[in-house]
Amino acid sequence: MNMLEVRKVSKIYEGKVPHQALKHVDFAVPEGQFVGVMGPSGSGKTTLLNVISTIDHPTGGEVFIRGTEPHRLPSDRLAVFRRRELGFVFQDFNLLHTLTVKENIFLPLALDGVPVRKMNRRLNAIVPILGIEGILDKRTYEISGGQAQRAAIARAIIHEPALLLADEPTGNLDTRSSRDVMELFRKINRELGTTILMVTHDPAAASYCDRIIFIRDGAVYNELYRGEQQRDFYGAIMDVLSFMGGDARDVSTVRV
Amino acid sequence: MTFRQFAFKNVQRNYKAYLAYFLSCTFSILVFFLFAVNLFHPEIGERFTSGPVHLVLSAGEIAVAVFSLLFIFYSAGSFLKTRSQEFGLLMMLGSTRKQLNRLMAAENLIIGLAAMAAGMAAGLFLSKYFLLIASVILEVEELEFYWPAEAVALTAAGFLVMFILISAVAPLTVRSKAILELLKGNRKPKEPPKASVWLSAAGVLLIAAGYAIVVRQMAIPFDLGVIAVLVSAGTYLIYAQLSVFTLKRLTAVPAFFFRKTNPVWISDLVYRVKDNARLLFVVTITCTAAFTTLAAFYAIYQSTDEEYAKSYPLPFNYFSYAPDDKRERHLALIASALEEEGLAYQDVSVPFREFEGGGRLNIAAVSTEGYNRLARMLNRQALHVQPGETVEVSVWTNKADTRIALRDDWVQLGGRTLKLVDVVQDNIFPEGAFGRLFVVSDADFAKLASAASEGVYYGYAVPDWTAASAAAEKIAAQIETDFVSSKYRSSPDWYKQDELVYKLILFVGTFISFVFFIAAGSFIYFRFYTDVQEDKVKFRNLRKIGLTGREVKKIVTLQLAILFFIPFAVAALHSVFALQTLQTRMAASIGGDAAIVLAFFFAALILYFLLLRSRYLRSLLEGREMRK
Repeated sequence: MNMLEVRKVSKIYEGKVPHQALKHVDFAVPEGQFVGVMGPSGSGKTTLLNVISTIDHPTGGEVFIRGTEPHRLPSDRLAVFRRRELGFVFQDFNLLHTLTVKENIFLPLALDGVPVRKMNRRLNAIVPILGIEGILDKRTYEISGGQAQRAAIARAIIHEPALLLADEPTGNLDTRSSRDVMELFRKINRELGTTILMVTHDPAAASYCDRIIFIRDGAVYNELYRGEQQRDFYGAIMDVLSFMGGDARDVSTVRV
Repeated sequence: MTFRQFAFKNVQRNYKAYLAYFLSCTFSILVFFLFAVNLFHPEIGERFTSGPVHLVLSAGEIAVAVFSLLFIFYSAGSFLKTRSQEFGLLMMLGSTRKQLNRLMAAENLIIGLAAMAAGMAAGLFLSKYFLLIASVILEVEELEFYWPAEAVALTAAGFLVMFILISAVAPLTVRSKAILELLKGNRKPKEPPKASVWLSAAGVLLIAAGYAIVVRQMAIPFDLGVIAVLVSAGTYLIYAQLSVFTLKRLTAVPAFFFRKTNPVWISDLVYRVKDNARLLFVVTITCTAAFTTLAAFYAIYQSTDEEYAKSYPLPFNYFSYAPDDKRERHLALIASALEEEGLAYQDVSVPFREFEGGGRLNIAAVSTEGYNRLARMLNRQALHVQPGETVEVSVWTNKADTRIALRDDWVQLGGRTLKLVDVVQDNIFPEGAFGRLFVVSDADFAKLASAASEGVYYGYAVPDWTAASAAAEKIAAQIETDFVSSKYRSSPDWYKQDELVYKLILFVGTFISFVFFIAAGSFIYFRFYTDVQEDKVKFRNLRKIGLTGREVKKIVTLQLAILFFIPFAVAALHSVFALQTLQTRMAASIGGDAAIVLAFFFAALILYFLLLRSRYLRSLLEGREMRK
């Protein structure tokens, strides 16, 4: 079964000069797949992610998440849909500074009115995978960037979403923390079977995925599937990137 | 953790963000409550129920209520704006609108109720002093502290309604925005502000035109309205266009722009000024209005006794028209009342004749001898009028628009034609006692025929008329003038009432202006506080590339000072010109009094600025890296 289906999605930004950010993007992600989306700056990958995560509306086409087209839901049903079916990891973590790590993680469940007993059970199930036992009662300013991203990932998966979306999750992290976070994503994907869609410009992070979709000028440019060796996959990704031009490596981490 | 617990923790741990909003609310409630305590004071109620005192206090209360509404709405708005990112995240995580609305409503009500408790508690404590000041002004025995049940009820009910209203409206400001926008919050890269050289020049020209009308005393229709429109429009353009234009010009002068911290604060100030143009404009205009009215009232208050002394050369005046059968009784009443109050009075009587003059008031004539008797008592110059001639004496006080122009003229009076040879510009009888007044020679006075009526004026001088209000009130209560056979007019009782009202207006006005100043300062501070997180990151990065802590403080102080003081400086300038127009109209000199008012406010402003600056720096510099 396809967890995510993107059917001929277009996005045009109206303005003095209309700008077509997405042109008939079409792909499907089966359940349990870990997909990376890559492309140079301005290629439309963040727009694509925003459309899939329902915080932006497509001007054409449809998006199905576990068989539902969320863009057709009224706003309150949409909020509940986001709360139950989607998990989101941001580049800059977006933890609430007023809450402890544990409270941040509980937030989606609290919004859904889940009883505290059940919250703790869910937390206990994911804590060993994430390795965040020691920081649960800390405030957000007491932990490192890598720890903050782990906490954010915990918040994104505690409600067992159908789809975990990540926007440059390693963009603000050093190499070592990036590797830890990517290994964590793979572990979540393998052990919990969570379907993941991640936007990244970092080939090293992308090499943890099962499949890479390359986007250029708002359209799907190429696709790569992972073989046996991660190292080979990394090489293949680099090849596509250099072939695409606008080498992704010299693109700054700041996206406009 | 339930959603409610989440809301509670949010308030508890982020109290600093809520504190500014809470304090604004508390402050508004405190001010409203203090006024209410005075308004409902049993003694004030007993003594001044229907008079102007009650009116001034009620007007003050209404002004404070309107102000509170605006102030709290604005504070709520900027408070929510600082938290847009948080709301965006909550929506991203799937909170429904209903949940968000409930969260905001709950927070608002919690803060509102807490502010009510704090505001009224502080109000109860301060009301003792507030009542003390009020009793001094109203010249009553000390107003006793009382349990202000009505004031509590009015304040609680009023603000409860207000907070419920805000709870209902506040979510609308967030609702209309998309999540994407909320998440980005204030981090959105802004378009560089643009300014047109023509609009900048237009701003300067408009203000110059407004000022020119004042300085050159041009006579144009609706001059006050025209000046107000010109200056207001010009002020807005100066903030929205000229400021941006000037700052952008500065960035184009490398020798200046790239010196020390200049590039940091100038480039940033361009955005700040542009963003806050409307706020600066509103603050300027309202300050101008506050300065001007306050200075004008202060000047009026200061010159009340002079004005009365001019309007009433003698404090007690009785006009008796023949036949007046109550004359003896009335004169005895006045004399005995003055004696009872221990006033060593001097009296004078002047016979006069009145003639129909076409107007509502008759034209009167007095003899030279009668006029000089009165003039001697008032230490005025005596007149020497020859037979066949006459001198006109103004019936109004000497003002620009009441002066009589002397033309070679003939006057028809009681069948005789007299030559007008001179004029006296100061009235000698109470203002408006006659339509016109002529002094004729004693011989002519005896021969004047066909008078509409004739009578005698009786005037009484006392050593200190300003302290004679008790006698005046006593006479006014007992005298039975019918305005046909007799008229009675006295100044001490009216003076006392006017003085009281002006004092009260001044007190209420000063208090409200002061409150407004604090609010205006807070608005500007709120604007800075909205960006504090963003600024924190910016300054942290600047510290990394070698900006010293001292330079950070310097930049912040400079920016805050520019936005803080410029509206007040411009308002002061506008006020000077506004008072200039008033001065020519009121024939009172306002300059010195206005300077006192301005100096007082400026001192308060500096104190307030220093306080806000240190608070802002503290919140900006908190965090580990910044303290180093």
